[in-house]
Amino acid sequence: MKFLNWLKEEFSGHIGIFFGAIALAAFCVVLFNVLSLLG
Amino acid sequence: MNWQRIGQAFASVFSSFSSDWVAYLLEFILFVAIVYLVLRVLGDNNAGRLIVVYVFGIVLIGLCCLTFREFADIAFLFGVALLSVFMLLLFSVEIKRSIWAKGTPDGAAVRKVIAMSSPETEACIEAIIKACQNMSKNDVGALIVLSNGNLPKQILESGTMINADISQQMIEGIFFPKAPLHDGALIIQEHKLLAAGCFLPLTQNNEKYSKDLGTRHRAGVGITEVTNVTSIIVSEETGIISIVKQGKIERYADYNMLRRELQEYYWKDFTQDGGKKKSVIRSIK
Repeated sequence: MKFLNWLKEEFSGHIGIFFGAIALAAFCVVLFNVLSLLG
Repeated sequence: MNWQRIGQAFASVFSSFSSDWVAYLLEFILFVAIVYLVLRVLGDNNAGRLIVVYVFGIVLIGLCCLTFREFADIAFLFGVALLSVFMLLLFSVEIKRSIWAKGTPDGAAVRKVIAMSSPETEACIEAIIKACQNMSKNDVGALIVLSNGNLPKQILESGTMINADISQQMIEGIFFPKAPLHDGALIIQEHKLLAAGCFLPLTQNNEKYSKDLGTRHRAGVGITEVTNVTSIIVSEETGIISIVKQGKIERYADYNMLRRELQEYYWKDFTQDGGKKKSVIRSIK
């Protein structure tokens, strides 16, 4: 419960940044692995 | 650039998601943590343009690594990490503040049993109020911080440790305009004047506070934004006494407001339970 409250407080008002970070991280993971294969 | 080979690499990465999902998940969490931290710091500091630069920088590093493929995977990882560190370094002061704010204990959670009796505590409250009122009457500026033992060490070290008993004369003496310690904050902890002449972080919230408020008020507000303490400010220009808690400033504080605040400080934060606090306050009234 405490953890959920912390999560709610941490991400409230920053949900756009959170999803932006997820999208950019997904891009980074795919690119990193593609580069590993190419290298 | 061999586009066919790059396309095949993309296809094989997507097809291997199901078999190597643990490794992908760990990589993903690592990247989300780094990118979220950077975007959050930039977003909190109204650095919208830098967010665009950061995203553009990552895409550019990725494209460069696709073009020049020797050690490209490691270069990409280092590139993202270096860009992130660079962005975070730009906002080192802001990050330090947010770490202070998160790392210091919540004032309400600080519970200590005080060894002093209620008449002695009452004498401390009276001394602080009288000193503030006297300084207000004589247009002497003052900044007093009621600490719960949760002030960062750097702030205490920036001033001079006093560790003296609380008295009206002592407080007024510290803030006497020609005294060496008058330019800074006086830190009160429990029943002691802990330190004086301390430098506090200034609030950066220019929109919220009018430009009439000078450096003393900005410092008084700034410290309550990063730690759970209460500030009492006496204006040198107008003699107005202000009380600041959690970044909210309450101006024109009179005897009753100061008394309420100090009673709350002494009996909320330094007694074992709320019930005891109420009974002590009632007995004083």
